[in-house]
Order: sequence, then structure tokens, then C-alpha cells
Amino acid sequence: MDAILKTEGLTKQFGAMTALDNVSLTCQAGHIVGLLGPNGSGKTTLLKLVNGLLAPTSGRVLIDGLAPSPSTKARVSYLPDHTYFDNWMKVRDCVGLFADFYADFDRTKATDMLKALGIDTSMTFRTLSKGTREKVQLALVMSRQAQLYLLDEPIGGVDPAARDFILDTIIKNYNENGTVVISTHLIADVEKVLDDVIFLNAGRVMQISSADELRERTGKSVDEVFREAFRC
Amino acid sequence: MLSKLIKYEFKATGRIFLLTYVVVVALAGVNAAMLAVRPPSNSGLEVLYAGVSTVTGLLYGIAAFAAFLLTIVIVVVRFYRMLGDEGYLWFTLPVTPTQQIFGKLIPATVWTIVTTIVTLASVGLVTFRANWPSLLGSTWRSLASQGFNPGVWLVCGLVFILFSLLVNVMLFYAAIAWGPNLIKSSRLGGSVVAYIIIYVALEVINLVGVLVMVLMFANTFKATQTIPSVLTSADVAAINHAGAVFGTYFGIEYLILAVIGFFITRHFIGRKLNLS
Repeated sequence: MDAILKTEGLTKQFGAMTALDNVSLTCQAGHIVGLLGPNGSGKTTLLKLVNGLLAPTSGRVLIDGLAPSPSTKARVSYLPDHTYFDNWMKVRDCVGLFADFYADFDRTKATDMLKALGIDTSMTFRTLSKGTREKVQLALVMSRQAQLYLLDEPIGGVDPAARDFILDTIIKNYNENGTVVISTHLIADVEKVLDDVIFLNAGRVMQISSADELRERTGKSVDEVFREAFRC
Repeated sequence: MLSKLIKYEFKATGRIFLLTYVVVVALAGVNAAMLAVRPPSNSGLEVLYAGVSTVTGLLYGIAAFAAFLLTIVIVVVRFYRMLGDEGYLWFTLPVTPTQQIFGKLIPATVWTIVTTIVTLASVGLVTFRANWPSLLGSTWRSLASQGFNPGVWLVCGLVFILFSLLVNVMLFYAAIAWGPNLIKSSRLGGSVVAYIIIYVALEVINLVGVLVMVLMFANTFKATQTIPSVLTSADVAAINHAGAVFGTYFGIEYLILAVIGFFITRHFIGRKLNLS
């Protein structure tokens, strides 16, 4: 299979602090990849670099062979760890915005998903709770037929009861020919859906492996391996 | 894609501007009405009338000033916010940095022009008794009779104001885009410092231009002091010539500065974007 995402010697420094240090990795098309690491390990920085929201200090990012650009942004569906819609916007305005800018956006799918999540599309963003705002953004991001989904802590801000529902939403709705990269430190919740795992610590790649191969090799779950690797 | 960006910018800012215009026009209407119902002397209402008209006049003045201030604030804040949390939306859309800039610049320019028109119209409403069409017509004819071409001066003046507006907005954008790279620990602080640097540079360039013009046209400026009593046709020709050179120089300078501001902005949001 071809690589949908590739980084080569990717480094990002913020002043004296190195957030990512010489990261080289490859994600194959059609896989669900767990980008796993403790807080501050560089997961968000990596995803922002892939989206062109940060300029690398050195190294490069390639998405389907191309550097971040409007062309790659049309193929990447990104869920940041921020809510980004303006407070005056109604949920249906947000749906309209995605439909206007993304050719691969499925408006019907988004409307159905929002309905399933119990979200009233006439509500303004100002009136929604933080969790509901995140669900709206997730529904919009997952309603695209993207080649690459980059989900930054999609279950980080919701209660445990909602996590399975959100993971279900992701698994049922992503483009099956596409790749999903899920950044999280809540491994136990996502382990069951992962094909591959990337362990990141202090800006460096510690391990890249298939989830099955890791479990076979260590005789432990990914969550157990993670807890051992990052024990304080 | 640019038209869609412009559409969303107008949607985001439209409510605030329209509300502001309604307030300005309504207060202008109140002031016009106050002037129309001035009580006759010795009616006993003079003090009350003076008090109310002073308050309404003051409110109108504040509203008209606030409309301009609000326009500048919104133009700056909209771009500033694009480089904050909202950037996670706008910079992940499949649009180019150039489209992002024009998606903000075009609505900002349109709103500034509309604010100016609405404010001027509101002044016209307040002073409706002044018979502006007649006053402007007689001034126009007077200038034309002396050998000036008011139409050319008016068009050149409007173009000059438009360029001046563009350069100011672009330099705000350039400062906001450059700021986070100038002071990495404070986006706001960096933007303010960047604007001060840009503003000082702009003023130095303007000062040099003005000095050159004053030296070039010293005699013409002396001639303008005699207006309108003994202005000869040679004086009028000299003033027209000075105006043409002056306008062309600053028009070109502003256009160049706006283009420089555009490229600085594009460089930083295209190649040096560091969304916090």
C-alpha cells in the first residue's frame, strides 16, 4: 500500500524548547493509526505541522506525496483540540460552511449524524456546551470522504459514557479507503480499533508497530505497554 | 473560493455594522427633527430645548465617531482572530494565503467605504436645511470658472483616499502576521511592536515625500495663498500641475506600500504560520 502520510526528519522548536525532534514516520493508506503519548509528547504539534498550521524548523511533511497546501487540505479532514467556530454561527451555518468549501463533504450524512447525536441545528454555537461543540465538529469532520483523517484527542473532552459513542461515530463514518490518525493518551478506549500504533515521547518516536504485532511480541495489550513505557 | 470567504466575512461582520448604521442614522434623524421643531423665542421652552438638543447632538457625534472607530477595530480584530483559535478553521480550508488575505481585505474596504457614506449621509440629514446640492454646485462652478477641473480633482481625491485606506489595512494585516514571529512569547505584543515599526517607517517615507514636494513646488504653494482674489491662469496651471504630481507620487507610493504589506502578510501566513 502507498503511504498517505510521511514525515522526514521533522523537527519543531519553540524558542529553546524542542517540541518534535527528527520525527520520521509513515502511515499507510486504509489504516487506523493511534498516535499515542503522554501530555506534552508532541502529538498536537505533529498534527498541526501536517495541516500546515505550523512551519517546521527542519524536515518535511508529505501528504500523498505533496507538501501541505490547499491541495492537501482538500484531502485531509482535521479535528483539532480547539473549538473554532464563531459564537454567532448556528450549527446549520457550520454545516453550510463545510459544504461550501469541501467538495468531499456529505451534507446528508452530517445532518443525520447531528440528528443521531441529538443536536438541534438551529442552535448557535454560543449556546452549546463544550462537549456538544466538540461533537458538532466531529460530526462535520467525519462527514467528509477524506483520504486522511487527523483527530486530535477526539475523546479527550467527553465523559467515559460518550467515548464509545464517539469512537463508533468515527469507525462507522470514515472513508474506508482513507487513513485515520487518532491522537490520544486514553489508550484503553481506542485500542480495539487501532491497526497501527506510534508511541511518541518528548518529541521523539519511541516505537512504530502494528497493534497486533506489538501485542504478540510483548504478550500485553497496547494500553499495558503504554503504561509501562510512560510510568512516572 | 474567494467569493465564499468574502460571503462568510460579510455574514460575520454584517450584523454589527448594520446595527451601527441604524444607530447613527436614527440619531441623525433625531437631531434633524430637533432642528426642525426649534421653539419660538420667549416660549419658555428654550432652556429645555437647548439641553435636549445638546444631549442628542452629543450622542450623534459620539455615534458617528464610534462608527469609524468600530470599523477600524473590527477590521483589525477579524484578522487578528484568524491567527488565533479561528485559524484552525480558516487555515485548514483548501484556499491559498492570497485568497485568505483578500477574503478579509475586500469586506474591510467595503465596510470602510459604506461607513464613510453612511456618516456623510447622516451629516446631510442633520444639516438638511443647508441645501447641500446648491452649495456644492456653486462651489463646483466657482472652481471651474477659475480654470480648475473639479471632476478630475474629485476622482483623484477619491482614488487617493482608497489607496490610503488599502495601505492602512494592509499594514495592519502585515503587523498582525509578522507579530508572532517578532515576539514569540506574545502574539499581541509582537503585533503592536510590528505595527509601531511599520508605522514609523511609513511616516518617514511620507515625510520625505512631503519635503520633496514642498521643495519642488515652493512657488506654487505661495500662489495658493492668493486664492481666490488674484489667481492668474498661470497660477491655476501651476496648482493643477502640482496636484497632479503630488497625487501621482503619493498614489504610487501608497500602492507600492500596500503591495509590500500584502507580500509581508502572505509570507508570514503562508510560509511562517505558527498558530498558537
